[in-house]
Amino acid sequence: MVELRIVRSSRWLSHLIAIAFLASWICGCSTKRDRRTELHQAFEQNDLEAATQAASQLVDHRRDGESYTLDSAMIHLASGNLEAFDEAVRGTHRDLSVRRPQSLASFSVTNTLDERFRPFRGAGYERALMPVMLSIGSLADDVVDAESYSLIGMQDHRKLQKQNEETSNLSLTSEHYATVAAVPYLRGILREATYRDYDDATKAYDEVRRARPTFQLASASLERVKSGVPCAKGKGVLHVIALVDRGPLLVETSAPTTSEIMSHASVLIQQLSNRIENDSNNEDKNKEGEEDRGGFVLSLPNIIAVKIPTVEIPQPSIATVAIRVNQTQISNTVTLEDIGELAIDYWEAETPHAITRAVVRRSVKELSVALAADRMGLEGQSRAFFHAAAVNAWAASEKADTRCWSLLPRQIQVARLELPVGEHSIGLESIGFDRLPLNTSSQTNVRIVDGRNSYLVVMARPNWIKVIRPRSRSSEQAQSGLTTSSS
Amino acid sequence: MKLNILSKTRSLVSSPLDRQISFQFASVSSFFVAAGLILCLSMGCASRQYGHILASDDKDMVGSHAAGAATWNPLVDEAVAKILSRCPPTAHPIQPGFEAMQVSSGATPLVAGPSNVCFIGIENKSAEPLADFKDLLFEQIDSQINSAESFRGISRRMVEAALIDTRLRPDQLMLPNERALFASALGRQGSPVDYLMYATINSGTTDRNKSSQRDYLLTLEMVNIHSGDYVKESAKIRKGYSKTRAGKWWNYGLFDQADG
Repeated sequence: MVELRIVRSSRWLSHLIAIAFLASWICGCSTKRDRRTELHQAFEQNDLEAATQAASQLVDHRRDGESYTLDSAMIHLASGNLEAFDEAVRGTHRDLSVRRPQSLASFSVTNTLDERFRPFRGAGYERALMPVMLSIGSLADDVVDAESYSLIGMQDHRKLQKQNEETSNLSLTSEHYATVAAVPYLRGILREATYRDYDDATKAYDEVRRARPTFQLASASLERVKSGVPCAKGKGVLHVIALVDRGPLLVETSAPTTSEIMSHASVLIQQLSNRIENDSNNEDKNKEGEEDRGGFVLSLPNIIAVKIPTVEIPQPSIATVAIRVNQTQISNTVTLEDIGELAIDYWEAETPHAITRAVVRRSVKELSVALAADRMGLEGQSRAFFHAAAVNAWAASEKADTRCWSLLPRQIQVARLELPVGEHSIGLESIGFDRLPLNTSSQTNVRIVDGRNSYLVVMARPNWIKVIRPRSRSSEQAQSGLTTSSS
Repeated sequence: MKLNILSKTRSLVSSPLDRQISFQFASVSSFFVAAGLILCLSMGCASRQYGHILASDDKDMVGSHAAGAATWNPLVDEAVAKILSRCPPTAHPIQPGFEAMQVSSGATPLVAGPSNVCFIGIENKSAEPLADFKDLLFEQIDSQINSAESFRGISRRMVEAALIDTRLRPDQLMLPNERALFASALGRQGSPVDYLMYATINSGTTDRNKSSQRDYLLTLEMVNIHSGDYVKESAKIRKGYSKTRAGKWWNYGLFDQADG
């Protein structure tokens, strides 16, 4: 009763506070959204300075900072600041890998507010792509850590599968997470380059072929490592790795609930309430004498739909990257990893869990409101009005967690060229789906060493294409006459 | 729809039994609010990871799903010790520019000294990926050969350069012509070779209900590049995997249950 009197007496004050909080929250959200749009627009226009400035204002955000750190890393990659790229992605990967999948605190916060308030975990596809991007960043730089990152990628995938198998009794989907074909492919090209670890290369290419049967380069590579050598005498291998187009984004959507999800949510709530009941059992018995509380049977409210994030892939515009060697077109890149498809696959596996969490959260909120109405002594129409208003307001304030690595490419495409030893002029050009060039091209020189691999990492967006070179190396090249130009 | 929700929710707090349920939900919701806000604000919802340095007498960790340090380290020690003890240093033809001990009666000049061993690599034919262990094992074996008095290892980088130079695969080196080509490539680099060394890892798995046993075999093979003779030595470790801690005693206990 004391609490009730306090609530009634401070009603107007609480209204004022709520309005002020709402206003500041809306203003904050719109500012953040504007900066995010600004960041995207600047990046897509190749204005990396403006993009860096926009990102620097977002990375310090308490809850969303880590997702913007990943976006900021992509800007570093595009600008050739590979050290900063590595540091940002590696740091985020490290933080996410030690973060517990569902801690008590985050579960509670998630169920009280919404999932935006829990620490950023990254979607499954984002976590799987971190080692891949790190490995590619290393290939663009000094290649030293590329193999370690590919190994980390394989270990991460095994962990994910194991985790999925362990939770299969609660899982609503039987699909396993798809193998990220880029991980074994990168390992394959690195092991093949040793000229003796052909067994590792064979296993890696075989895994690529199984993960992506349409990727013809895997079959050709498999044949080569089984009986041949990486390249003929007097030649070296140039691997072109292109990060193509705009990648997947997470956007909010309304997902319908199914009977299976409702029953799963019911089990989850039952487990939680049993745990709490056990914890507080002795205390309650002391308070209420020897009263037998009986079984705790729960019926969920009828929830039709909940807000969850879903994968949205921007309209694709680049089909491939044409490669010209010494002014002669000799090859195109082919798709190794479709990040858009990967994101959808992973998200389909994770969506039932997201819907279940949303249902549990909504149930807790609705029943908390019902309890509050009961404590306030509301009856009849006033109770119905209060319940509807409070539940709707609370549900309306809830948003889906759409934090994501929004500057990822849509595809990772690769090409393998065997070129004679010496320096070659390499031209790269984005080709659209109508097989016409997109008026974006880049030119660079590459030195091929006998029997060795060389790597060319390219970032191709709808409005620009550029070869990723470490900043220091770019300046060295400029001094030694090797040039990189892009338009 | 909303009416339906309201009626269901309303019914939850109408009867005495439902009041108990609502009391439970009071616990649930207050638990979420209090625990969530307090713990998240105070602890940041993140877990940590810690590391420590092992002392030299600490035991190696035994892998729960695959072979680990406790399997590979003794295998390498045993296999290398065995092969080196069986492979005596041989006198071999002198190289131009080297001082030699002349053998009487005009026979082929021979030189005494440590044999040069070219460790080609490890081939993994087991059911488990070696991942980062492969290069570790390579370096362990290479270092142990190098530390033996009678043998001298050839730098891994030189071996790699010779393989690239000749475009030969490791399996082709067993053929006499290719072997000679490879040896001459190494000789040109100033690293004459006496032995080629190969390592192979095999495994065999025995399943019994929810438990399994996996045998790990590390085989080292040394081929005399001059004569083509070879010496082979192996080391084996058997390992049991169970779903529970009691599986070890259940399968390999006092009564030899593992035999059936």
